[in-house]
Amino acid sequence: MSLLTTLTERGDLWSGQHWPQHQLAALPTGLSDLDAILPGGGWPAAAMTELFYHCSGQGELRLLLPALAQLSQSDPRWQIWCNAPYRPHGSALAHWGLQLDRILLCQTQSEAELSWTLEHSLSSGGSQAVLAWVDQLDPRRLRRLQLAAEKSAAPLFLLRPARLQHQASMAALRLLIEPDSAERLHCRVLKRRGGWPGADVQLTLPLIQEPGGKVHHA
Amino acid sequence: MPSPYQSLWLYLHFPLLALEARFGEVAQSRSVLLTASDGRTVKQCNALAQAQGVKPGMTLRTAYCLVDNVAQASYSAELEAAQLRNLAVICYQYCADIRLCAPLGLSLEVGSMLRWHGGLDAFIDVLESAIKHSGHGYQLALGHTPLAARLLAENRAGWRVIDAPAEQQQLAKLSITQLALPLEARDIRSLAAMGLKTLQQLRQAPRSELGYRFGQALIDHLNALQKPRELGERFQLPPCYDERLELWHEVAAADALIFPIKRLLHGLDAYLNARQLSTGKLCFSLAHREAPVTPLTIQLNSASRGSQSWAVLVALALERLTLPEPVLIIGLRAEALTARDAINEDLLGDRRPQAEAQHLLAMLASKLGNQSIQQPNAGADWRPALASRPVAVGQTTGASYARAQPALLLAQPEPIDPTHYHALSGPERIAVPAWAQPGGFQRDYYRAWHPKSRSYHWISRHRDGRWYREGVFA
Repeated sequence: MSLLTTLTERGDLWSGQHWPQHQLAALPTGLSDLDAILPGGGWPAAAMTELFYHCSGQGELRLLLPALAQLSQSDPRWQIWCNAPYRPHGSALAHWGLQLDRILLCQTQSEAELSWTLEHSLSSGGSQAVLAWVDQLDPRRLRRLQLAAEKSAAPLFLLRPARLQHQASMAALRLLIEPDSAERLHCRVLKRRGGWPGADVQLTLPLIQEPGGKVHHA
Repeated sequence: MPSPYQSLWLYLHFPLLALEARFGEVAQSRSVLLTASDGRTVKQCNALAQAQGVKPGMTLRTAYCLVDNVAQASYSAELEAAQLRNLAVICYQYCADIRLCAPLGLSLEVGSMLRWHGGLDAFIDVLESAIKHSGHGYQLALGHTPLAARLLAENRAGWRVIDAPAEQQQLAKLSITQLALPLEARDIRSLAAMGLKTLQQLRQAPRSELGYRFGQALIDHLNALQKPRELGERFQLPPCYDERLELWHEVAAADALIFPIKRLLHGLDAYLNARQLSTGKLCFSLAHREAPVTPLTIQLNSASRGSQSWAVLVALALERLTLPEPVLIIGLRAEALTARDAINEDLLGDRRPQAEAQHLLAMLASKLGNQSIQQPNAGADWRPALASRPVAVGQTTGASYARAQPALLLAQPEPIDPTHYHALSGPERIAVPAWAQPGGFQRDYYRAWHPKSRSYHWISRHRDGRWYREGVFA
């Protein structure tokens, strides 16, 4: 019985009928349609999430910004942004509600350095969330990252090119985004811990945060 | 009745100080010896060498016949004196009045320190553990006068009896060669020829006759065994920390430098503890034979305190370092010394996450280098490229100027063909008068959809009519 409980709590085991009721630690995404298809009703709060996109500018970051903004308001530790492909624009991030003095932008030179940075950012307990643009990464390193995220109870978001979506991964959640038109986004679940894969949802994703938007100030 | 502790001195004698300063931990694992300044005789050797028959004073040639694998260096009085001062810094954490008895000893006045430490045993315990940690062999003794403590430390190591008559008895048995008498060897021989071979016999001889034949210095020396008289010069903390460590062989791999560096960090830790300071920056200089000195700077913050956490950061920084040549000398200077904050207890439990965050920052800065860690900024400037320039950690402008613009900006605008884009909103003109920027700044920005890649961009038309991609609505 206790093994069943443990597995259920970890999201490794779920019943086909009742999976949305499972209580997994999660961060609300700020988009109710998306919350509805995610186990626990939001981004996994202590696990790795992989987000696959075809080309920069498809909403891969906008999907995360409301949750990151809320975390940065409520947690005094660092939010690590690693290897952004372009320069993060402070004024725009402030508009989304992010607390800029809690964000650290890191640039790494090699795959080994990148995985060291991500792993230590998580395991040191000094970060509230870690976000990284990652191309190729050894599956063993990905596995270590997932374990580090679980141990530190901090979310890790990896933004990755869509061509890597078929690579095996330990991530708790894997999403593929494909924009339909201007502000419409098609979001497909490749894998979710605590639920069946294959669910998808149409989202309306604003380009910028509307005044009085869904970011809740803690 | 006066307390027996009222006048009490402790003496530390470091018999192999120069040898241990030169060779460090190596002296514990293999035979090592120091040659005298003439280069032909053995000045000091460690226990391993002595076990094979080497003795101080022996010629080098004989020594090499006795041991096959031995490391050798020449004796340096400077290094020995510097190391004695380092040991005094360590002792300074526990004792206020320290005297340097060059070349090999420290005299500590302990009578006045015992109340602070809560007893003699507690005091000796903390002192011994600190000195053991430094890796030096030592001989320790207590005495009712500084000179008595010194003679007992040198000849009856481990004497810790606080009983004046017993102490005098011990001293009385010492031979005149062990008394460090201020006499020439010839005079000591003539004392022996007169039948005065121990302190006991010397004491029984008439003082005035001795003074007449051997000078006042001898009488003063004998008196100093019964009446306290200060030894050596008083130790004072140096105003800043700047130490060098000469390596006894060339180190080519940067990683291997961490072992000698730990010795320096241990010394710095003791120094900062003694002065109740903390440091914000460690500056190493790695000297080579030919190439210019390689600098290495480690930024510290409130979370990194103590030699062990520094060593972790230095090890990370060494991984990044490539050496042009093997290293011969390591120098360490501590900069940005500040008074140490009072140690506040973490009553509400809210300081731990902060400390972990500070620790993470220090680790990242050491591993990736300071220039690879930045923070986003929202400056007051209207020009996006200037407003968004990332800043060093902790330098963000207090007020954030929020703007409805894309989250990612291109470092350099990229020329594009506007017919490939569908403008969805705009234009939004950003203009700066010519007096603020030579040539002026005027751009019309549009939010645009790129149908081919199905992505959102921020494009602009410059004053000359050309179009550029400025940012990405990622």
